[in-house]
Amino acid sequence: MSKITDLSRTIVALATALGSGSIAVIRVSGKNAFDIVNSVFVGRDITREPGNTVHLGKIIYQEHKIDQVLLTLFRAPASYTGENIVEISCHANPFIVDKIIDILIQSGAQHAGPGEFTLRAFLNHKLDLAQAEAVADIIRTKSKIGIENSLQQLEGSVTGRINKLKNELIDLISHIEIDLDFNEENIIIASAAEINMKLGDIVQAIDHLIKSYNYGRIFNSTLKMALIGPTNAGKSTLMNQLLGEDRAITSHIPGTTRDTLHENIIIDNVFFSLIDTAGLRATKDDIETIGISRTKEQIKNADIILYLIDINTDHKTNDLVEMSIDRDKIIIVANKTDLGLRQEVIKKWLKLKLPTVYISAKTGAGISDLKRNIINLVAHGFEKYDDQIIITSKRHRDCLRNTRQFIVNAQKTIDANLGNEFVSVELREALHTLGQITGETANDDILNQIFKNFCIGK
Amino acid sequence: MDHYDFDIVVIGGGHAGIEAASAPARLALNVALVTMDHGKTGLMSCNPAIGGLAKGQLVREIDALGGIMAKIIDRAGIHFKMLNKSKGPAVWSPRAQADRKYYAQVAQEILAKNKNITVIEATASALIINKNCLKAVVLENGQTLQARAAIVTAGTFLNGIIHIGLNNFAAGRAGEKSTTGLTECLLELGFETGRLKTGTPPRLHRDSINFEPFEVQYPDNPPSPFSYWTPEINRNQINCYIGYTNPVTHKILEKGFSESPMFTGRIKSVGPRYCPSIEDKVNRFSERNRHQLFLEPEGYNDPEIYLNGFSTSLPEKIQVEAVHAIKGLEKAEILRLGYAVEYDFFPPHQLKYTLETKKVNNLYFAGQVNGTSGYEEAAAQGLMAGINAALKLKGEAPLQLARSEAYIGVMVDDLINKSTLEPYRMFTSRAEFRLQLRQDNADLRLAHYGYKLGMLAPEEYHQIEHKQAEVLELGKWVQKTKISPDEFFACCGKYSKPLKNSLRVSELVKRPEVKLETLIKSKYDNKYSSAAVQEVQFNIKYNGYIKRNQAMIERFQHYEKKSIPVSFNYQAIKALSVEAIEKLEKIRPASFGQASRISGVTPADLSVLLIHLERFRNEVNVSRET
Repeated sequence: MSKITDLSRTIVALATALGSGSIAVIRVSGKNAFDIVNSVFVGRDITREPGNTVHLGKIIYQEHKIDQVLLTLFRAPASYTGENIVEISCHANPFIVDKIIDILIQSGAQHAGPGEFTLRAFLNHKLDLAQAEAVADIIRTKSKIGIENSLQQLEGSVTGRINKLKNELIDLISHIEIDLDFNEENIIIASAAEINMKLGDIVQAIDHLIKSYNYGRIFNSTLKMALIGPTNAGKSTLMNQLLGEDRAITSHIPGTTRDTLHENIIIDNVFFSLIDTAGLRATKDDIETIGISRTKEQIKNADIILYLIDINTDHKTNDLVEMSIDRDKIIIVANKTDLGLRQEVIKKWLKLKLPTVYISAKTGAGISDLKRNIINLVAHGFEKYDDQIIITSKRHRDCLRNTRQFIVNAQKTIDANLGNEFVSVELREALHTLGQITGETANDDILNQIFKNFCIGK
Repeated sequence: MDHYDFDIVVIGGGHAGIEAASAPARLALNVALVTMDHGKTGLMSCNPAIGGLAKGQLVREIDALGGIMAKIIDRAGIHFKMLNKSKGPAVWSPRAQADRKYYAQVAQEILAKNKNITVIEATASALIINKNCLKAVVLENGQTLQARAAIVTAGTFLNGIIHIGLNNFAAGRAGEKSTTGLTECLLELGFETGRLKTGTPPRLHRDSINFEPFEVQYPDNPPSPFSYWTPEINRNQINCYIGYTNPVTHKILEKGFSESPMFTGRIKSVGPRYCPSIEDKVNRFSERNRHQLFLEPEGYNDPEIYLNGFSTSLPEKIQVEAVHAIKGLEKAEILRLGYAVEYDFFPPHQLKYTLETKKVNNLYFAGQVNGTSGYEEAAAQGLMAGINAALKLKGEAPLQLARSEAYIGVMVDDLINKSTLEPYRMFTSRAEFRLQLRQDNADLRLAHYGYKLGMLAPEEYHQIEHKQAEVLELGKWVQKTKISPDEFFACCGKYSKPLKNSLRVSELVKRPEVKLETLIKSKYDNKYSSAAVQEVQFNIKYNGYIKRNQAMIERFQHYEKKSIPVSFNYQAIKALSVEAIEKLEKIRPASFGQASRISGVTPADLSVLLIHLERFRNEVNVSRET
């Protein structure tokens, strides 16, 4: 976290993703933002202009015009980072963008590190830790609901829920401490049974939040869906059926190189990367071997497997069984219902006791049913109700799991009659862990970890 | 070469003062104890008892470091009780009521025996400071005591005012004058000061009480001594009595609210939240129809009975009527009315960890003047101030106890960092490492400091070394000794599940119902002291928690080691809240850990501070590399 913590630097970075759209936004944040941009801008003298204004002008370098731009001004503290910010909207031409950033660097700005804008927002008390993480999520997430959830977090509803739990814990801890420190009056503040019951309520609340992650996470990432099965079951037709309706324009799985074997679809606001293994079986020998081991890898990493069969052909169920795939990930898709249904074949596959859907890729029959089953599987059967707080971050989920463990320990300690001084140890650890979500438990490891996960320009 | 009358002058002969004087004297320094009334040295102003929840732990820590409080109470105690016995050993606290007059006598005896202590009956009225260093203590009679250091332990006497009802008069304690001059002198030097209040109950005449309706409270038999070096208590132990107020009492008390110095705003200072007066209790807990009272005799032959739980400053008429409404006290004669005393104190953020003031070198504050309440809290501070003053004069490193080592460490750390809005009293919940800081292991934790400093004699320390060796030996024994199913059935069969195979003692002790003592006896191996047995047993039974506490301690120390440079500029960090900057600049914490305990510094501030510390560290490293 070295240079990144030098807050005297004025930083610059491209804030939009190149390649999307016709306008790029370059963000400059810091004490000298106005001076630096002003020195390369021809138009109004922006150092004299108030914040929340937009100005048309040109960026020039050595008398040459680089681009016509719009400047949006934000004056500290009324800005994202809490510092002075100038956002330069220019044409989304990579050469232009590079040149502008270059000129700004020459004028005194410095490249922003990953997550540095948001780090400054955090340091200037514009965001708490949960909110800062939400920013990363909003950027990453591709789905509308994911955005809703991250906005929810950004608005602080996760924080609010956590604070409520914290206050309940603090209340219980104080009851226990009163018992330990004030027994001279012999007042029974709360019986062991009462305390255990209240702890049970807290555990339940935490469980709700943990479960919501099953749902939340699917909006926060790209889920991998693999389509496998015997040849001629109709994979291509099904792929086209799915893609034809829902093909996404851009596709990116963060962190991996672009792979032509991936196609992206959105089903019900959930982003899937559809892994086509169809081509792999067709080749033979060495390539086949490489292909097969790659397929196995894909299957292992997939979040959901669609095993496609022709319901009118007597495929061996053994092929699927031998693959030893995690049962929770599989949906059996029985295709070609338009050509009939062979009961004895159906019976054989139903014996596997896996979710089974009947479709005709050709006619489109059963596709909506298939989609429903897909979502249901990846959401682990979670049903969301309105205004429900959803946890979308793995880190939060892990903190909640740990908190839960301490509280359960406390309950066991109460049941075992060990003594309130031990219950107190568990509950204080629970409180400490809960505080790690909103950053109240100041921990440099956590801070490092969180801001490391940001990308530059954010 | 400057001439000094004394190395150290201690101002005030209360519980803090007598420790502050004995410690340096024991370390061969020349000490003067200035007190207004020689005969009142070591007197208990309020409750005639030493110890109690969390306080008992303090007393044993004082003992382990070589202080005298535990030794005094062992000689003067008349009703010993280990509190919280029904709970786990981590929260046991010893307490004992004393023969109050005899307690003071013993204290005076101990001081008199030490040739290095000169008791001067006088009133201190000013200090002479030169170049920010203490030079002398000025007495009311005009005499000046040149000293290399001074420790102020004036208790409740600085501008003390006693309130009974709407009457008030200057006094430091019933029947004793208050003093004036010191506070004013310190104010001129730039010290901050405030007012606090504390209350005390009426004293009744034993012979006028009908004990019938009261429940007898029996002392422990045998009584457990406070001092690790008292083999046993031989004195006669007497009983106490438990009674209750009733709705009639409460009604009478309520009548007096309009004349209560607290409720009518006369006393603007704050009283201890945890030691509320009876009128506070009746007012705040109005739904309760009775409050507990204890009748505590103040001595074998003393007719005075202390009415514990009835602290009050209501007018005389109300006190008398309310007391007479209590069952058994219908004809009680009130020897002394309850009252509230209001006094000056100095917010302790003005002190260093050694209790030396930041403003004036070689000037120390200890005890109630720092805004604490309780004899034990005062004595612990007096001991630390005394030791540290002596160490400084000798040119040696100071003694600073960590929060993870002792309740004394918790207290000093709290005093320095937290704001005192009300009198500070020790609670076990203040200690994060409560499980480690038990009343039975203060010797194992702290005696080595006492010995190294010279506060404990070699023979005294040998006793502790012996215990440590015992604990080690017993620790090995439990690992290698096995109990057979028959042996186990014989000693524990009645209440614990029988064994199928022989099992190691260390495994068996993990069962909640099994006591290590029992297993040792079953092997006829009785040579271990009960103290060693207790220590080993606790470590086995609660091993999981001890390990976790260890992890917490390591985490704690990690942040204690994150030092903050002395010159660190908090003002420059705009991201810190205004209050945090103010507090951080005022207190100048030495480490991030300490900063995290300062009240007014929020978690958000701490995150910001962490990041800036990193940056500062990196800048320093870069400049080192270039």
